[in-house]
Amino acid sequence: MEWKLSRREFLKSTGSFLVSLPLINTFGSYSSSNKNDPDEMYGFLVDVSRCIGCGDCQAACKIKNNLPVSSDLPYERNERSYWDNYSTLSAYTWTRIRSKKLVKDGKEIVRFIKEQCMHCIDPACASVCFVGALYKTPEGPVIYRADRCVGCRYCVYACPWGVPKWQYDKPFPFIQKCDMCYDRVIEGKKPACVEACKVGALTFGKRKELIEEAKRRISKGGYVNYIYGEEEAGGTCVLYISDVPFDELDFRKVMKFSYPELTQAYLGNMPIVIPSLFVGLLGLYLYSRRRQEVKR
Amino acid sequence: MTASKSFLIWTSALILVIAFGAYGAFLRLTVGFKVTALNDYYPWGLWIAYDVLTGIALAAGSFSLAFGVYIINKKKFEPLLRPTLLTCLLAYLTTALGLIIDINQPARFWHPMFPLFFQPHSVLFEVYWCISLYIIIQLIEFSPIVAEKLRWKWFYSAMESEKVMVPLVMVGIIVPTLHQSSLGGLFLIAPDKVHPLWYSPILPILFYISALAAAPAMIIIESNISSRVLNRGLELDLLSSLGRAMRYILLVYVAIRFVDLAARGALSYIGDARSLFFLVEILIGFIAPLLLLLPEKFVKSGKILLLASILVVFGVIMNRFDVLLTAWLYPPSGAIYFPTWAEISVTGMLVALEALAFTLAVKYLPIFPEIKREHA
Repeated sequence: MEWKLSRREFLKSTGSFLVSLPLINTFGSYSSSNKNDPDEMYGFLVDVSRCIGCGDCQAACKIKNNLPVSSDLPYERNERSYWDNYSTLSAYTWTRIRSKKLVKDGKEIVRFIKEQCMHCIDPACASVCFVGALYKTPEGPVIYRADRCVGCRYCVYACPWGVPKWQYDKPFPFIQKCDMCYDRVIEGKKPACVEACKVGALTFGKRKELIEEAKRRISKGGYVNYIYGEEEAGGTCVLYISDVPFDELDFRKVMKFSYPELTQAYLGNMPIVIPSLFVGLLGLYLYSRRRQEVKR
Repeated sequence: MTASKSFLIWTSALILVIAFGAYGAFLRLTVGFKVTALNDYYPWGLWIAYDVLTGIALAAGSFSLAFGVYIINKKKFEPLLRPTLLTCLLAYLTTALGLIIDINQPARFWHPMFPLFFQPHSVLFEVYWCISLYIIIQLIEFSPIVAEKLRWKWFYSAMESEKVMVPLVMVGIIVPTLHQSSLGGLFLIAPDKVHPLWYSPILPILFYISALAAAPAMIIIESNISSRVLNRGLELDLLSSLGRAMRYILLVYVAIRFVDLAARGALSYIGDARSLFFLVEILIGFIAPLLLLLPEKFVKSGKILLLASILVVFGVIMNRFDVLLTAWLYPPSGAIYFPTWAEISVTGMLVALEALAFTLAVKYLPIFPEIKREHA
């Protein structure tokens, strides 16, 4: 049985394919659908110069989120420096204080850096998640919807700071990370860690106000003129200011654009690639069949 | 082929490997990921590198051959279609099984298909859908073989007609083209954690072209194995044509790879610890087979074709492992990854399952038309 495809049929099928393009166009629509105003997102400002490393924020986080004080994970216990309570973030430690010894004006000093999720404006983790388990709320916190999670661990791979962690001590693990106490935030309360801080190192508020506050403190002097998180990964809801350069504090140097743009640039080609492949294959098929007919 | 002694030894050896791997999978599902070397620093390990990235890359033969036979009308390749389709289908099925063991929540493997969870902005979403669709397409493409065995003539002739086969093959080329490249697209999100010798904005293109190079290589290797084991002739002129195709694909791949490295200024990284992996991969896995295939005399030699094919398959396997594991975490974090025996046993189980299914399919289904079967 020969399949005769006329010119008319070719145009008809190509045409109907092109009409269905808007459907394919949903690929790459992530950034445009994420129209929430970053200024209105909640976040907090970490003032490294004020932190005394007491660890109250860590304890408050563990109590609020019902996390064990110590776990079986090897990395939590490895190579801990004297001032660190935990050697790394983990599925059971969503925030921690990291210490850094350095020399400033000829004196040896220690600085304490609070680590947790940065709550990006356009998070890589949420963009790669193929079931929407990691989700950027309009209020700012990046939350984890465990009921959706398949456990592919792409978020662990994708996050530039390596924040999402997983319970690799279990048979059916979930992803775990700081959710900025989303339940408290929507009730109008501060996150547990911010409320626990007694020295004013943590300031909770809307991102726009936090940047204004950070600039005010920097302009008063004593700070490095840089807000870590203002541009990092396209901007984050957690911001840092410090009296010593961020390089010396081992802050991760990340790209200053939103990471999902990298994959969207690729997926955005699909509306062109898919119809081109279709038309190309059909053209090649018709051409080689015609050639065979001529040969005969 | 009768149930000879060698057949019994071969199948029981495979069953032993499968049983051992099943125990590894059982431990993964009961004791947990403690039996693997995976952790927060290495969320993806051997299972993703081999079962998924390598397994899919080496299963590009089916759609490449379908392109040759059905689209550009090179009907001489038709005898190679069925065995290639079988190996590729089996590779995809074992990849799916491997993924179900790998994910944290195996019972939720269907979540990305649930419309309320749709996330079309995720590369993984595209990969998941394309792989699922392609498994269905391959099953349909395979169905005439079963129909022939069952003597459902009406079904067989309906499926083999061009009106059904050509549109099916077209979708069956577009879908793997998308996911072969999207597997490379997965890594685009981590520009500052993947070593510059491997991270590239054109990773999807590199993944696609290297999979295309692996396609003729795998067909040549499989033809050699089946000709030896099943005592059938080797289609040397067909394999030489494949060798010529492979020569041009390799040429394009090596050229693009080096232009890309030079354009990004990544060539200066040659000399650091990881560049040894890069050099072995590119020199032995891609440039050596390219040089082997350049002289027309060599392409006509079965032995050199086989050697070049083995090198290409080695290169593609190494490339996938390098992109996922060797290149991971740059600058170095201090964490290292080496798979545990449980991980290796599960991967071994998947390979053995594939081999066992292939052995049985060749025995009971009309895969190689010229071989007389017991029930034919």
